[in-house]
Amino acid sequence: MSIIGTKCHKGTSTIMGTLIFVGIIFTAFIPMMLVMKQADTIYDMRKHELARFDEERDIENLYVYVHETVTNPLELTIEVENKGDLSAKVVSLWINDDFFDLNQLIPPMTGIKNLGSFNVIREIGMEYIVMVTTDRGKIFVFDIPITWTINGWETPIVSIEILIEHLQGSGEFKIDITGPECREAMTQKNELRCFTFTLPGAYTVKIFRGSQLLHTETKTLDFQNKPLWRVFA
Amino acid sequence: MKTERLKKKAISPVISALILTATVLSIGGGIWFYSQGAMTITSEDYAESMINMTETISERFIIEHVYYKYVDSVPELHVFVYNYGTVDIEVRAEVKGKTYPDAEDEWIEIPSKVMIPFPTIDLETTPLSKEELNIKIYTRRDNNVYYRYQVP
Repeated sequence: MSIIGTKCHKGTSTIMGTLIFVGIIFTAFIPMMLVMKQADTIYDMRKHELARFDEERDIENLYVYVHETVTNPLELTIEVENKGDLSAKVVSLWINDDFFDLNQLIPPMTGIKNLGSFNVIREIGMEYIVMVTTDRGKIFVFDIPITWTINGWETPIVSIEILIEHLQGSGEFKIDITGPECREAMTQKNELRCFTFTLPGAYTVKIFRGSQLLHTETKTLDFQNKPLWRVFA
Repeated sequence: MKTERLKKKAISPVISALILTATVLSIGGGIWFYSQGAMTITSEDYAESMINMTETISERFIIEHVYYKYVDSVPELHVFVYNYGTVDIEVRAEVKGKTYPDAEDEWIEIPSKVMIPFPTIDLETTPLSKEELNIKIYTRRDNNVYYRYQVP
């Protein structure tokens, strides 16, 4: 009788101990693990979001163009072209140390967009560097310094940038530039080539593959208004 | 004699059962409450540290522009910092081994998506023309960016 009773008591304690253990597992351990797992998940999600954000920032690609304003030759007209795949928002503009607050969305593949005409303090002989910043924190600079002279805004060089993106065929393409100065070069698809010239005037760009003429364009470049010409073929 | 002894012990199994149960309940309950408290604190600490870590990796900022000029014969460095991340940041600057602002516990707060001019940095010594100044901006969460500025 006493043997059966002892077993019974031991069983009760074991069951209670087990219940307490299960209780601890369900009310303390599992919630703790869930909270930790949730924190880990939030961290991982944020990491992925940031990786995507950084990638988007990397592929942002704006071209900045600067020339004197036609209606007011004292001012500078700033234009940008979004050559990337994503919309970019221009939030600030610097012309040397002068800051201009902007908020302009530049959708991709919509051509050149005018950011406006800007008046800066001018000093004869001073070089002006123009740069824009996007809301993703990327800075784009106009490649050519522009100088204020007694004749107005001028650049020391004219330049032609050529990018072959859409022409059919692969392998090497031949670039032939004729005008006041001439250049010849070989290039490949998606390779940006830049040519600078000290003489303004009418330039013709011809692109060949083998002996076949694929693309031709002509433009007059001058120091004041059109110092930079970008050819996309 | 034996029967008499058994009869005397008749009540003790009940008492022992009660004592055993009470012991199991009190010790088990104590462990239960302790472990609940400990695990709550542990999970809260862990979650908080993960949130801090998330904020640390979320910081994104650049030195957008730097220029240098004399004001009343004192060389001043102007630094513009843009916080393009999603969290607010607190920053200090280090130029030529000296940190700014001067007060060690003072931090400059920059809200998310805002560009602010850092308080003017008065350089103790006049930098030479073409001298390179390495400007470091660091946050309270220990992220930093560098900018190399050449004095005109």
